[in-house]
Amino acid sequence: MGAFLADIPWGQVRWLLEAREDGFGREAVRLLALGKDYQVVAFLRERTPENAIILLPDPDLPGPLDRLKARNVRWMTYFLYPRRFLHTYEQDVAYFRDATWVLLDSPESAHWIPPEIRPSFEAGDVHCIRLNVRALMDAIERGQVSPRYRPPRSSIASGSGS
Amino acid sequence: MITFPLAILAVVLAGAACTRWFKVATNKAEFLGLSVLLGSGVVTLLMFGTHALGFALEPRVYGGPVLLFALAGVAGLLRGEPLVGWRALCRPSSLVAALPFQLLTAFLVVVALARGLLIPNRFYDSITSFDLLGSIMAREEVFRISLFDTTTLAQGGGTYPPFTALSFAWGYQCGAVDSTHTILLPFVGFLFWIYGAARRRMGATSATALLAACLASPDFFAYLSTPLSNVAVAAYGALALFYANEAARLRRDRPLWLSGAALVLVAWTRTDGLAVALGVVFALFVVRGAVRSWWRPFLVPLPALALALSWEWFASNVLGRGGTSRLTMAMGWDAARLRVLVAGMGIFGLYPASMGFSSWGFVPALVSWWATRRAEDRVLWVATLVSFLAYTAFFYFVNPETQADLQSLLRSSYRRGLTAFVVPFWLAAFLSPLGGWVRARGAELFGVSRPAPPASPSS
Repeated sequence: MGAFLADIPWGQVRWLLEAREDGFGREAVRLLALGKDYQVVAFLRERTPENAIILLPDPDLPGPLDRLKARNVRWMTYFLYPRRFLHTYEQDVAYFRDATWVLLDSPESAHWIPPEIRPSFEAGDVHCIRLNVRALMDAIERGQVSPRYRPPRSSIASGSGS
Repeated sequence: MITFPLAILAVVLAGAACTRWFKVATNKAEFLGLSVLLGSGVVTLLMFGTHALGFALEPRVYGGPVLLFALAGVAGLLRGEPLVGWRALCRPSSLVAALPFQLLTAFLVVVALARGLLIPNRFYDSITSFDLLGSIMAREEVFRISLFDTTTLAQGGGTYPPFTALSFAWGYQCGAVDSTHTILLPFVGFLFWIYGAARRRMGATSATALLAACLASPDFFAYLSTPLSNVAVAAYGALALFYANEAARLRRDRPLWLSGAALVLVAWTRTDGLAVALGVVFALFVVRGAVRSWWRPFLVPLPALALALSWEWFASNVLGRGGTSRLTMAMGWDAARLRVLVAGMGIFGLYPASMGFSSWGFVPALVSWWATRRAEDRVLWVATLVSFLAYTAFFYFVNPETQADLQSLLRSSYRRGLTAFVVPFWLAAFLSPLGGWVRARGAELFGVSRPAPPASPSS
């Protein structure tokens, strides 16, 4: 029995157990398989608090992120659960104005962001900016912010949601 | 974690106890398949039951009853009478005939399992979100998770009965890092059951051919390896149809109650699966001599109906989805809708890229039954046909806004549900007079002196 136990390569067993904890490189596989969309997930997991409420880009506007993945509320909720996700057209949801983070992946998805804080999308960049949505919505309703153009799907710029 | 394989073992043993409880004589493959399928149904029923009594939805609560069931299963396995054994699968004369089917089956099973393991369900989880709901139920340890309160995103999953989400939940709570094994469990059980059920009525070569034919149907293969509710509905529906037929063939009640239990699990998985209940009741009531008294068929779906109605009440009053149900029904005559529906039935029912050749085997089988007036297995084809028509008629009464909406509904929901008929279609095709003739010619071709069919179980 002692000889049997001594023959077991305990170092490799420990290595296997450690590898098991992160699912044998599960994160790396996910990054490889899901690409940019999972990069966004990893980024948000690291940078946002667990109680964050995050606005996603409108899936009907052009942009590099997949509308079934990083632009999809359910897909993002699966990976980042205690955080809540919303689209900008879901203004009737009760905690819409409590949102503090906005994910932006294209100039079109950022059309409602005031120009002075609007990020640039030079090389297909994806930004997650911290934003006081309540104050911005109040400013839009008071007419202090005038967006450049209004795509038909999103109603946030028209201020009709409240 | 070692707990997850142990949890799967406990669930299968609990299923073994349930299978023993019905006292239906089975062969080994069938017993294993029934254990997996009934076990994964029973564990979710126990979860919901203990949670409804006010306990938290955590393994140390519902694990108790599951372990009691598992102990009963071990006791049953230890002291029960031996099962009907395997027939020789590799008899030299039949090996030549069976080998292509065995190779095809092995290839398809390996590819399906690899696909299910490598492509997690949540990649396609954007519609029903069972995986998401299950993972959050596992973490919040309640059924009525916070997503039901605050967002509309859970509505799609919230409208389904809880079998699927709870299956994911116990997987995650018992230490699964991913949902892949949870999905593959009923799939593997279903494969064993298909082989065992076919083996009950025909030789090993034919049973392997049937399994290969089922696996080679594209939609069956595509949907069964990823989302869980299709596996479960297809498996429990096939169980209900097959054992109703066995009850009529053997003139016994026990398979009838097993069929009723399968209907309960159908209703516990997806409400539109109750079309199978309609087909079973109709066939047992109409076919002369199928049951010993006229009221017996109506007892079979009663538990399933009670469960479905309770779930509807619970979902609309406790989960509070009442005002937001997207489904409206229209009862009147509408020729345009009927035209779209019949076209969709032809496209998705007969198109080989969707159903494989299962319906192309089923239709000649119906003709051969009609031509020979054979009474054997009449319940099987009547129940399958009526279930199919009832399931289609359900989509006639669903009232979307436009015809394009109905077409997209057929493309997504109707087509998905049709996969549940692949196995009954192939079973009927193989058991029909024409299928029997083909099997006999095949046996002659390969010089197999036909052995007596496996000993017909007495009950």
